[in-house]
Amino acid sequence: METQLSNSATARRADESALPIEKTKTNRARQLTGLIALFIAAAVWLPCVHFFFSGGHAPSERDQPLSSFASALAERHLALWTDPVLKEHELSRMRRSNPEWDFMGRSFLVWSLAEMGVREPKEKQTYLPVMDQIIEDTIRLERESGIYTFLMGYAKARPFVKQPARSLFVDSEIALMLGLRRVLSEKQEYRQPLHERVEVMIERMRASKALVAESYPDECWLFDHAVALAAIKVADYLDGTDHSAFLGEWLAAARTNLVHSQTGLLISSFTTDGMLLDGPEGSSIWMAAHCLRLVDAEFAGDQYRRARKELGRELAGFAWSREWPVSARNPMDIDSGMVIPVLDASAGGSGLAFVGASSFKDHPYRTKLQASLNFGGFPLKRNGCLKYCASNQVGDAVLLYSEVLGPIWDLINKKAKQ
Amino acid sequence: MTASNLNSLKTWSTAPVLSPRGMIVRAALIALTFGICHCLGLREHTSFLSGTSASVDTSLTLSAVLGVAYIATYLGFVIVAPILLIASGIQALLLQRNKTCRSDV
Repeated sequence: METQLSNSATARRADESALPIEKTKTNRARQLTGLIALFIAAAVWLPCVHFFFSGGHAPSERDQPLSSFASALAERHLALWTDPVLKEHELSRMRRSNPEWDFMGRSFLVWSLAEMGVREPKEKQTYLPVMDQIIEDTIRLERESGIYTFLMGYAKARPFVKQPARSLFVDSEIALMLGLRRVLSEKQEYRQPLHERVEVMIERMRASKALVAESYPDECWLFDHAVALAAIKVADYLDGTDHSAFLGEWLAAARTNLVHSQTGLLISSFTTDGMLLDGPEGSSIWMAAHCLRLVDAEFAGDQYRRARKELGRELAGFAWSREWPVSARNPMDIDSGMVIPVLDASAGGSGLAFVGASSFKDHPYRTKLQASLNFGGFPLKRNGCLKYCASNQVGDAVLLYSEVLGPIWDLINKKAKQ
Repeated sequence: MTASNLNSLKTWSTAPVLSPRGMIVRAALIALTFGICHCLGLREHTSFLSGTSASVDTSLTLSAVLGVAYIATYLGFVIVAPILLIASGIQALLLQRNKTCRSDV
């Protein structure tokens, strides 16, 4: 009996000591299966995320009317320029960060409205008054407050090399606004101002051995030169002038002085002597390639392909643009915008990559850029108006332009071929 | 609330992270937090990404703080919560399979 009792007590003690061991084993099994499950789930989910963001719309072809995406974006911009309170709110918050953005937002919107008018002739009468309002308001501000009203503060830090002070940034974008407005519908009052801007830009570029003109004191930008060349080409189309010799000279000089040796891409900023300030940048090259399509389609195509290789990146159905090639990195600045570490995705570069991808009909890249935008741009649609919260008016205007660009460049290139 | 309901709530809320219930609870909490941030209008503050504050009356710093909070919960909702939900299903299957194997032995 005693032996029996002793045996059962021993067995109970053995059971009790086995319980925590069993529990630990179960816990370990649970944790291990949990980790395995998380790993599998991540492997399943992450490649699928883009499916939820890539839908919406396909980029509209050049002979087609506006997509619903473009209409919704445009709706908001038109509201901005017809509602003074909204306009004041939006422009003030941008000017507080960078007065350039206020100016560029105007330019991209006017350029977009011109393309939209060509696509939808019935809507011309809606777009033309807004375009004229923006152009006249911009020229008035430039006349009353000077070029510095659209430049960042450091423009006043030292004098412009070429006097009197003028900025190619301001001249080129206003010239292209005037030109594209006239392409949509002729307006005699804009003929002389466009002619004067074109002549002054060429005169200032010719004053430098490298054929470059300042946007800021002794600081010249590829972006502004590309826009200037496009404006000159548009003026030739409108007025029957011929600046092809100058355009050829400029391209030859750029191939000699402004090409980055490692990547073959055009550099983004340089001095009046053509000395490098910043190497190739996403915030310059995509727009430059688009504008250069009017001047030398083959060279522009080559620049686009190089930019795609050096700056375009894709992962799991998403795409973005780096601001700098791997071989020429720079610190973050106002043009690059926020750069996401590891991926090196640049807000400025990626926004303008839409322009490049649309201009060169790179639909696969464009669709993946759109997925990234829908994922990380935080779209907000209210009362038929679309905006991207992570962006601002200039960012949304660039997106609108990328969505509608094409018909005017095609018109000009077609006439040039004839 | 009945005692069994309370019990069930307690079981769910105290479930360890690496368990099917634990993962569902965390996914739900992430979704709830994101929903609150969204309803509070924090989405507008993601404008800090473009170097712009949400409005003239808001400083860029404040927009950045609120914007980061929104983005963190958004990424949680879009990336982490679905992974947790899928993982909870997979883990439940794995555990059930383990149990069946043991009982067979």
